[in-house]
Amino acid sequence: MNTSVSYRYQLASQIKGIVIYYLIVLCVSVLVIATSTVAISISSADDGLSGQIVGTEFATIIYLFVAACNSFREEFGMLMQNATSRKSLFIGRILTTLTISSFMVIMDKLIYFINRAAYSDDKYVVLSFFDSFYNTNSDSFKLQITGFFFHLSFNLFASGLGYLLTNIFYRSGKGGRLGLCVGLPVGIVVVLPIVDSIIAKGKISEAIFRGLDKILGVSAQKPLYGIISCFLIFTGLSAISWLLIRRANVKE
Amino acid sequence: MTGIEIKNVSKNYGNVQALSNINLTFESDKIYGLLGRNGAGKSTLLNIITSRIFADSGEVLIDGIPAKDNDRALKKVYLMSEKNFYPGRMKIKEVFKWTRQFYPDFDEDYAYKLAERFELNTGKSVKSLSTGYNSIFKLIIALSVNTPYVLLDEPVLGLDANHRELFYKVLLEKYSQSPCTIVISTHLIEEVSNIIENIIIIKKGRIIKNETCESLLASGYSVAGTAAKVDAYIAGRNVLGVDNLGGLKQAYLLGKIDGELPEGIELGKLDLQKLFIQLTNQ
Repeated sequence: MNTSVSYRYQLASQIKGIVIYYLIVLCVSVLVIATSTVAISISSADDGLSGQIVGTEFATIIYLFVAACNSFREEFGMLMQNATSRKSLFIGRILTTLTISSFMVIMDKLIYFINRAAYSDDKYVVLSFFDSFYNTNSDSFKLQITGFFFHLSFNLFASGLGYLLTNIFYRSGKGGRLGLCVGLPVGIVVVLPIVDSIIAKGKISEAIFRGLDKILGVSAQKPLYGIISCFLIFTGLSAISWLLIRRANVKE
Repeated sequence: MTGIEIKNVSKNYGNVQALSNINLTFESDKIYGLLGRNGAGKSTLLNIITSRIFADSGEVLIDGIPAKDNDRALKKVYLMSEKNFYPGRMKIKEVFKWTRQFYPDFDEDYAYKLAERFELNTGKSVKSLSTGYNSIFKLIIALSVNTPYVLLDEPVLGLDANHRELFYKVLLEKYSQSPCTIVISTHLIEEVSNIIENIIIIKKGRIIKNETCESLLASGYSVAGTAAKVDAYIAGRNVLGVDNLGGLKQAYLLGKIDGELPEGIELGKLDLQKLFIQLTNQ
């Protein structure tokens, strides 16, 4: 099977984007650290200056979603041109997603520790994505590992969702594409809030938040629920993607 | 090697039947011409062989291995298609590097030598190439990939006369050094008629001719002479086409020569293009 080369190709096609992304993240971090250091140095003790950096990893999740949304068409064409079966393409994709998602968790953790080290002052709080969900702010090894898998599961979920959307887009006709590009965002951002506030009197959003709270185990303070839920959703999304890919034709 | 076997393959696009129950074998180490008018189903057939699209029914075997989405079978075939599937931002040298990964027998040195002969700048990105050089870069890969089966869909699209001549020369050089099965799908029938050994003519998704170039050309003949003499000779015969040049005329006829040719009439070979037009216009 061409799985190995499919994996290497798909990984290589993502590297440039990731490097650029982390250069931007590092630049922003340096800028924030520099401005707050200056602010601290010129402020007096009773100014009450304080600050928070929370959940910077969320940018990575958005990045992975967007990158996945843009990853199918070109790679599919290139791999089909080069005698690679859809099965090898898909396995390569899953391995690429796992590798990149894990790598980005590690990178985000490093950036988190850099931020923590830069803000040793008690007035500045640096919280990870995981900390903000489960009210933890501890360096215990167990919590770090749990945080790693929590972040990883979200990265996988974002990648899986983006990849599924791009697959649906690829397989759809003009109507389907329009529905996906316009109907879906308008439905979520405009129609749903209007229906929720005017007709349902906030019950829809309440049900969504309650559902999210349960599957992520936020109120129950059970991060394992969130990890398992995201992994399961990623598996489900990937399974649907596979069903779409296995019958996909190259478009001339 | 048993070649590429196409068994009962059919394909529809909505109500349009692109291929209808195609049965065909591309034998090892032969050069085929796959000829047909626009929309006849040539590209569809080549895309089904390489699993880029799926047939509605039937199967394709490559050296006895089912080709449908099968890496082991697909590795034996390279399809150079009209459309470019290489990423636009990728440089030609990067494409060569990756092709070597996908096709381990890809001869990178030979590819660079060909790039020199065709004056292709390998430092350029795919998207910056002109139509002609886009074809050239894909042809270079096809000629260097060293798979047992090479399928060329409109290989000389956008190439000038010099590059076309060079391509045919290189193709024959390559074929004589390491024979493989080459399928050329093209509209430029005259140009390939000296290269191809077997001709497959496809019309509205059906194979209407599948025979050697020699036997197909032996199915008719041409006569030339003054217009009056040629007109007299061709009266009542199966005429494929006529070319006029001043007072001279050349006519292409189907069938065997019956009796002796009248004085002032010269006998010649059948013109493949004329035959093709006649067969596909019916």
